[in-house]
Amino acid sequence: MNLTYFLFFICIIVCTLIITYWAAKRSNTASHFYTAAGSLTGIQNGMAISGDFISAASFLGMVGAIALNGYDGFLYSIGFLVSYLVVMLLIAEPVHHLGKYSLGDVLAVRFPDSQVRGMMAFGTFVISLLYMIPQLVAAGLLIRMLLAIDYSVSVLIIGGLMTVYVVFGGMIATSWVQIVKTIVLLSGTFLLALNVFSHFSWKFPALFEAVKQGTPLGNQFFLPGQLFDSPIELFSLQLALILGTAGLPHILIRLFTVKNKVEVRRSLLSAACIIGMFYIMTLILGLGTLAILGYDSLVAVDPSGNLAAPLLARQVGGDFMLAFISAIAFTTIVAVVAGLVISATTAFSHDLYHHILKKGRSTEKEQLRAARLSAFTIGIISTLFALKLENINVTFLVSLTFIVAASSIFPVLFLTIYWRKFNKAGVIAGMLTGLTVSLMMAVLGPHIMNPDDGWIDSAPIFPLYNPGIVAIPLGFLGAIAGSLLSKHKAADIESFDRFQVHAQTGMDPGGEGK
Amino acid sequence: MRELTLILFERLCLLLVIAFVLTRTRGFRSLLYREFNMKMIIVHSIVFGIFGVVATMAGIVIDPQHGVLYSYVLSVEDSQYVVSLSLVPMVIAGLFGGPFVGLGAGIVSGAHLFLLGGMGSLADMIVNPLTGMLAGFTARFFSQERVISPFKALFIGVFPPILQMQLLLIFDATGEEAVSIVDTVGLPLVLSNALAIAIFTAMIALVLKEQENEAAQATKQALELVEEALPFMKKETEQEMAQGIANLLHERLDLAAVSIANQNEMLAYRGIEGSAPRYAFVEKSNLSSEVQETKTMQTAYSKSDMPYDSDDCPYGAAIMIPVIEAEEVVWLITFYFAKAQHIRPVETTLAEGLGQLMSHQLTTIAAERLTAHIRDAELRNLQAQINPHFLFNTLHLIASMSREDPAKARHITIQLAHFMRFNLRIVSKSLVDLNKEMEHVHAYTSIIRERFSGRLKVIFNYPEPLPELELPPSTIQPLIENCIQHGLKNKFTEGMVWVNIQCIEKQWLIVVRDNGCGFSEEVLEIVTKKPINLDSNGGTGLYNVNKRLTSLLGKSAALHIRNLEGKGGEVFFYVPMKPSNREGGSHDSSNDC
Repeated sequence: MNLTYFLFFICIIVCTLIITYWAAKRSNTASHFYTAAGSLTGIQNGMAISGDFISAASFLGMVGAIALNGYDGFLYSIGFLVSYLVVMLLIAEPVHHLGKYSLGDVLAVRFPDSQVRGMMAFGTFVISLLYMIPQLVAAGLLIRMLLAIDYSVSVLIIGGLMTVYVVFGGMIATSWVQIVKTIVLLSGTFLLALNVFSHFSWKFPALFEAVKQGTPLGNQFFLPGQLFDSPIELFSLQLALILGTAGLPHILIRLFTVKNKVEVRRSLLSAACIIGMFYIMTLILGLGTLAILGYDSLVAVDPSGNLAAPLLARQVGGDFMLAFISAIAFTTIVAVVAGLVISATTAFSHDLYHHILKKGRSTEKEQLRAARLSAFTIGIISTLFALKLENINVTFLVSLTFIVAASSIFPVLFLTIYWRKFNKAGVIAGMLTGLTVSLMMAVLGPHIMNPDDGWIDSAPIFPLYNPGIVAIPLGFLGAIAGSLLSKHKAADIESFDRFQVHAQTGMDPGGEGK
Repeated sequence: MRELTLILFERLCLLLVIAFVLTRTRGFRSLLYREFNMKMIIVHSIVFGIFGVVATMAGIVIDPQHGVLYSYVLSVEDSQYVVSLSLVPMVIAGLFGGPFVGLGAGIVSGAHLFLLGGMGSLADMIVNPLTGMLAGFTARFFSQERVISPFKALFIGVFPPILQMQLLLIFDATGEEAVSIVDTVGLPLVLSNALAIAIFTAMIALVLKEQENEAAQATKQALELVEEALPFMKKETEQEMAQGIANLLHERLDLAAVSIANQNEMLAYRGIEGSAPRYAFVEKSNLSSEVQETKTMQTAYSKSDMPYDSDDCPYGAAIMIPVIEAEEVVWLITFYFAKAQHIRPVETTLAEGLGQLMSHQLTTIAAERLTAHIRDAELRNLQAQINPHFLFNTLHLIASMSREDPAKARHITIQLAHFMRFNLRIVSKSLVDLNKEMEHVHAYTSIIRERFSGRLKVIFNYPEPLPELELPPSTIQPLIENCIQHGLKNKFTEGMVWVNIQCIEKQWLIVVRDNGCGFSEEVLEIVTKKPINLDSNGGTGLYNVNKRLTSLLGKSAALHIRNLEGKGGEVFFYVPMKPSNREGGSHDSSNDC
């Protein structure tokens, strides 16, 4: 590790901690801790959402995937981007109107029952943990490769940092590190992209020519079929990506941090714009890596392609640029992980502790203490997991998260908001089906059951790499069947209408729903 | 690399010294208030632009052959790269002047860099305005704070040099040269720039704090002054008030001169002898007519605007403050300064605050006076009401006497007429001579004596001629009435009432005493404090008298009540010796009759 790296590394840590310090001074009520007390503007929140969403997997993985697989690599971006339409059109405003701190609140408006709340908290926790582990693992690998520190040390650093972050800063600190990260990441990638262009005298054709020279795929690079050979796999993946965001708790709770529905729309629009711009930039960086660096030198350093962006930076800007891009990647990871910890913390301390254990009678001070304690615990748990899972495939865990979210939380939320006959049994059935089916299929699928290098050394029971196409409909089916078959009477029409008005307009018409 | 960092720090320290001097100028301070207009934007852009040019010159040059050249940058060859420090002024311009000042300054400084030439000139030309503008938007983003905290500035300051390096790489992507330059200067630049920007922000925060303290001081001073001016504002005549206040202001504010005028004339002036502003200014000067029109404070910065009608004005600047009462400008207070530069924001703030406070104070005083007048009028009306029983009894008395003793009947009729005429006068006068008051008492006692013929004796004991005293009308008569109605109620023979007036220790003591039953305990306690209704009539008498005495003659004239050792009660009060010595006697000005 040379001096430049080290100073930059320290610099970023100091800068981010300073933000936490400012925020920690203000975050004294439960409302501040969980939702930044509705103090963010739509655009700030949009930046924070993109900061939450663009993970290290996106930044590093996407550039690598494009560099290695061409067109198919870019297909991930499309799915991620389109998923925001689903969030905005179907989920965002009702969730904003109904929820206060957590997704459990949203369900509780319609089904005021501790089982429902507990189920949602459980789902939130599982998904957050699932998503957190690959981030930490990726971070550990990245830091190890960049700074040549030991894997466990780097995981411990990241895990410790994010825990400090959330414990002291709560949502505001998290929001701010995400906003800062988004700005830094966007401008950094933008400048790097410009740098790439300037190498080709600002001419697209020259870039494409060089890409064709650089990749072993030749012309095939710009055509589909490198990564997904069967259309079913492709469709299944895209389905999970598109519906998955609408079930990601750490994105959805960001909708509580703004004041009104106009700001909700604004935040989603700006998030989609930022994410879209970002993916275009990753495309250019991916192409640039091939054009400037070449396929062979990329694969020689790292066969997974994850280091494409840093390597490109070193090639065009020396160690200075490399340090800068690494610092960006580091902040990216901290920001995403902090966001995930917040959502898991909320599920724990707000839903489990405040509403279920204390029956809604705990003081704000107690809640805050519980929140900090659970943030601390969750930080430790996920760090321990990440330490154990050094060799797991990161992309697999990321896509698994999206599949789980799309088949458990998304169906339950969707049906709660829109289906008149949905009931408590449906919530529990849907959530359980979604979680078990998607997790089972992943375990029984070729990622884990694989005769070549899988954990379980046998032929996969479930043939698809991406089980979304099966798991998501099953999640919906479970929820519907649960409601129709159970003895619970569906809520009467009037109360559903009241709920609908509340969900769509934000005006609380009262009634027994509350 | 370490040497380079140290050199950059040294150069930046030089810049910080220049920046410190800049913060001492009045123009820079106006930036902190975020009052932006086109002119200020241009002026500040140029100032910061020049600052940027100086910063560029304080930079260093990297030569591919000779390495780093540490001389100041005056000219550059094509192959050399200028390590400019101009980003520090650009960030500062952006943070405090907003995006437009940042952009403007960046254009000036960027143009200079472009003209200097050298290898990174294009990148430098772009990075300067860009940085200024981005810093401006960042400052807007953190707009809840007037001055960005040094920590935030440190964080922000990290990025401009990174941008500079990136742009250098983008525009000079020719090969290894740019990369090696970035490797050499990148980190030192980041470190030094970020720190310099943070230190500068801290410096500005200090200036601002200083300024706020000044303002707080001014406010405090204004409040104190008004408090001290209060006694003057209650003075009888306008001249007295104005003279007192002018002296006070001149003394306390260290002004070259102070003048106070009303709508018609100059009331007071303190300053250089023999050069008082002519009264004519009220019509003539632009300043005063503007003040009267807008009813706000105005400032004259040049002799031609001064409230003088000739050229012999010894002062260079003035602040004119209106004092407003009931929407009308009643006074114009003018502060004179030897030079326009002597008017600091503190002075204007203070002047404005003073004017407002005095206006409020005047309104309050006027309101107080109004209530006092109203209360007085109410009291007089109350006392003017003649007890109807007394009137009927007296008329019966006259009727019965008119046959037996027409002469006496006539006498009593005349006394009744006196008595009633006096009562009418009560309404119109707040104070009367003791002479008149005693006439009233005599008229009353002669009627009453006749009515209780033989049963009652009234003994007067006072010096002749009567001292020159002023009393609220109908003060003594109710006391006697009280003796007869309550003290002697059950006394059917030898009822006695004494009325004594004597001088004790430069005060006149007036005593009314009887030999009746005295006051009961509970009555003794409350009788002067609130009106009581013991019987059908009377009850309020002592209360009313006490109230009029205290409100017109001050607290020292309050009624004292006690029971005598033998039998009977006594009511007495003191009146100050000379009528003109009445303390606080403000409500009685005799012009209201």
